Amino acid sequence: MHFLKHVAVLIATASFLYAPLCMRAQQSGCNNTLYLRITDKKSREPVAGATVNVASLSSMSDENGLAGLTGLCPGNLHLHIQAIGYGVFDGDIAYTADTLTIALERGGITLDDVEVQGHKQALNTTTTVTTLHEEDLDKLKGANLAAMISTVPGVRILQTGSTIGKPVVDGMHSNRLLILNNGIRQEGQQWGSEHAPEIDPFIAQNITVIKGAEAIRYGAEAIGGVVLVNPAALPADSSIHAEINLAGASNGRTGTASAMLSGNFKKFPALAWRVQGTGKRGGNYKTADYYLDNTGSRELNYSAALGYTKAHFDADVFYSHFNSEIGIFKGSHIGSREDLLARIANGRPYENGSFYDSINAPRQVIKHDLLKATTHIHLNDYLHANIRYGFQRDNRQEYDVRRGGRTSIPSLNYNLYTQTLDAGLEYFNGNSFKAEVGFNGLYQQNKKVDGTSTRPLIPNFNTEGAGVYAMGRVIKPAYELEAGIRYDYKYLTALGYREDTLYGGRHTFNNVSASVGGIWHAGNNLDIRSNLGTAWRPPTVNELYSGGLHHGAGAVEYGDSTLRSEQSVKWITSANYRKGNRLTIDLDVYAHYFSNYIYLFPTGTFSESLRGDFPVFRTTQDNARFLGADFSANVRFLKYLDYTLKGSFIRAKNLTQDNYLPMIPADRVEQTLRLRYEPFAFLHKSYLQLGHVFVARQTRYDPGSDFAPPPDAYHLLNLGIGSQLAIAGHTLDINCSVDNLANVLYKDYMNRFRYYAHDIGRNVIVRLTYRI
Amino acid sequence: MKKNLLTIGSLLVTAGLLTFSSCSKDPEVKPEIEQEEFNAVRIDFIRLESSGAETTDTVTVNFDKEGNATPSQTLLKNGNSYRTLLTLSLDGTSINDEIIEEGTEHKFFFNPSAAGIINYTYNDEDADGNGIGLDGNMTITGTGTLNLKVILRHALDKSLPDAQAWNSTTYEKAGGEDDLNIAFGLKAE
Repeated sequence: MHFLKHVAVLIATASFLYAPLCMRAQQSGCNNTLYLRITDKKSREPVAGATVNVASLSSMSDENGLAGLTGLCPGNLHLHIQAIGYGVFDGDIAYTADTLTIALERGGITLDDVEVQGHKQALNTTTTVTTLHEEDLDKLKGANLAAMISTVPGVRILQTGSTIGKPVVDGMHSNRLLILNNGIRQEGQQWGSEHAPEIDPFIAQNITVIKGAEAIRYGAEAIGGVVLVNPAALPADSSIHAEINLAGASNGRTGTASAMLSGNFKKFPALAWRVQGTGKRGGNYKTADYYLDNTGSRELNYSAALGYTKAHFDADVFYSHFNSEIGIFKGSHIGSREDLLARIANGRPYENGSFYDSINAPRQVIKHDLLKATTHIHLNDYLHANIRYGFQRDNRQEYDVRRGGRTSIPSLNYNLYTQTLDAGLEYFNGNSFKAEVGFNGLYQQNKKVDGTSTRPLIPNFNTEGAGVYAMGRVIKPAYELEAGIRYDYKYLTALGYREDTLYGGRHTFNNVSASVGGIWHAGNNLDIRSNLGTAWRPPTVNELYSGGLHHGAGAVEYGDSTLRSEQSVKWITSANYRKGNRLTIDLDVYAHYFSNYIYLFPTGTFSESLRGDFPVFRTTQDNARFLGADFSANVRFLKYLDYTLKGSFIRAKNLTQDNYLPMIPADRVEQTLRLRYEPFAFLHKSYLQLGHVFVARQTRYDPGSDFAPPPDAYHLLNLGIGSQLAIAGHTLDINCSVDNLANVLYKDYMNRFRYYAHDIGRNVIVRLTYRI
Repeated sequence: MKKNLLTIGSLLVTAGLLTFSSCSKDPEVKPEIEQEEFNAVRIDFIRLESSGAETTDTVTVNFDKEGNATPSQTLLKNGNSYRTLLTLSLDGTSINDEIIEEGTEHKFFFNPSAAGIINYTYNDEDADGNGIGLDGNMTITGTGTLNLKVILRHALDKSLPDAQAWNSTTYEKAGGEDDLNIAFGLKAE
């Protein structure tokens, strides 16, 4: 005992003497980097968004809980780590070159469950997850949802001109990709390739893309993956938070303004609120050479949220309204096959167009309302329950150029009412085992609004679905294992008229899906995840019942009411390597097999009518396979420079017919060189970046399946510059990006307008975000 | 704990039942009065005297909704002029009024497969003084057999050069789209 005391004194004296030596070292050799992994002490899962401080140096942990601090001296460091929902970590540690794991204790405050819930959804899976955080979103604001997430490798856009875009994840889109808007599945006639998701991206604080078949948790339609649009959690402190966003784009002269206000009632701090609104207006956009007439757009969205938080219980209510009007390029409205072939032969519109921002037919008018109520109950230390109810009403109107004064009457007018009820129980034994059971219910009605005077494209229908699932997860320091099983039931009854003939039918679908997956923490820097899962998708109403001229597509399309559900197996493996801030490599490789993959098959025959003849397509199902790889690598060198390389490749094939599938994205490679610099003391986080995008020509296609061969390969250059200032004690982020810097005239295979026109030309965008 | 579990359990069951209680009935639907597409076209060739007066001599070609012509070949006499009247109808009712009302947006073009046999002039006029083509004069200037294509362009720009000639084959360049695209055989003797 006495001896130990002496040892202690010796050590104390030594460190005291050592400290001044260290101080001198500080002045000369302090450029070490400390790598940290921040985890949740209880669940052992990574904590994202934790602020790490050593003296004046600051950093933030990413979605894997990793953070790095550069400019440190060897020896003792005073580390201060803070994260919402956790107790503060304040302590002394000795500098080490290895990655240090710091486990944070959950804070005893009431908000922990709400906060952690928000993060949990994004991370609690063994499939591949990529999240775009606030910082990433700030540089993309003003664009639509699909354009914003297309910066994630493997995510592409299915465009109908530049104003309408749908995300494509690893080749999957529309009803094969689930989009969750604030936790509720987005339902809005998504079977249409020109029906973009009715979501205001300004509501999101982060957007997550999950690439595995997440069918266990979400049921049908998550066959290709899930996109989660997550707003920020409601505030816990009693000050008012505000965020104002302004974005202006030169191409289309588009202006967007969005504001958000959130706070807490001083007299009743358990109640928090948020209101938000976005307005957008733009005119005709321009390719490198000419304008596309009638491509203006307008948008007006707003939302409100109210949340109540107590010790073991919280509830919140959310309402959002989305309203948009989009002009459809005048030159895309074609008559018969002759028309189409003449346009394709010309390669571009006959007129050069001009700028104006009025919108005439053809145009789309969409209104989407969402009402959501959720409650989260902390039953005890081991058990949590969630109940989520959603109600959506989607109204889609499409106006065409018509005779007899009917241009002002919509040719398509549907109301889609969807109710969803999700309930789940989460169990964690406090050690290394987690379990989850859940139920998802859906009831949907599609009703046409009478008075269009044209034959409706799809019938009226009622559908109900229910699914139950169970998942188990083992979490160990070196690895995680997960398995799940799900049963789904779906019933559909549809009825419609073609002239005076009634058509329709009743359908029942059943399915069992299962998945297994694991994460292996192979050393401090490498994570390998793998997931093998089955998924399914019942046919949509248009796949079952379309029958006739699809005006917008210039083709006659026939559905097949005997279609069976699609069934698939996806195996995705990802490797994530991180050497602090210096080197990051993410590689995803996947194989996706389908039986009964539903698609439109070109029959090669033509339907003759007074209007001319139109090619006939039939809906059919075959076996298909998709193989692909997405990668992203970042190298930091010379202290101030970052080089990023991203790529995505898909190889898809129709196995039954032994030919290629249509509309599969071509290979894409993107590289960025970014410089971080400090021109003035009052500017923070300044950067300058140059980007290059290369998209290859799609050579995997069958000549008979398309009206025109895929366009040539193209190169694009992008420029970006940005910084952050402090104004009146709050931050103002400014950035400017120039897309298609060289004003290249190009066509993209995934743009449905490529038959008639080129893609967008140079676009200079300036964005301002002020956060209070 | 047990009590809580019971509450949650019953909540989940209720949730399930609620979702199913509104068990789907078949949807209600009313037929839509389809007013858009015309489903028949008729072309009347009324023989004109050399003075220009109309006779009662009329040759008619009817087209069904697939665009098939009856008769498949029409006989007209070399040297004669015919008043050519087009009628587009939906279930027997003519919709020509709709075209005349939006006359500036509509124009008929006639493309013969052989040149030098027929000639056409527009009789009707839209608000800008440009021809529409529902009413015109066709003169037979030669002999032979040909295939005559009749096209109605909608939302075109009539001021453009490609939209001027009755037999323009580059009418697409004037914009718009095909509203009618039919063909039939013509024999001039």
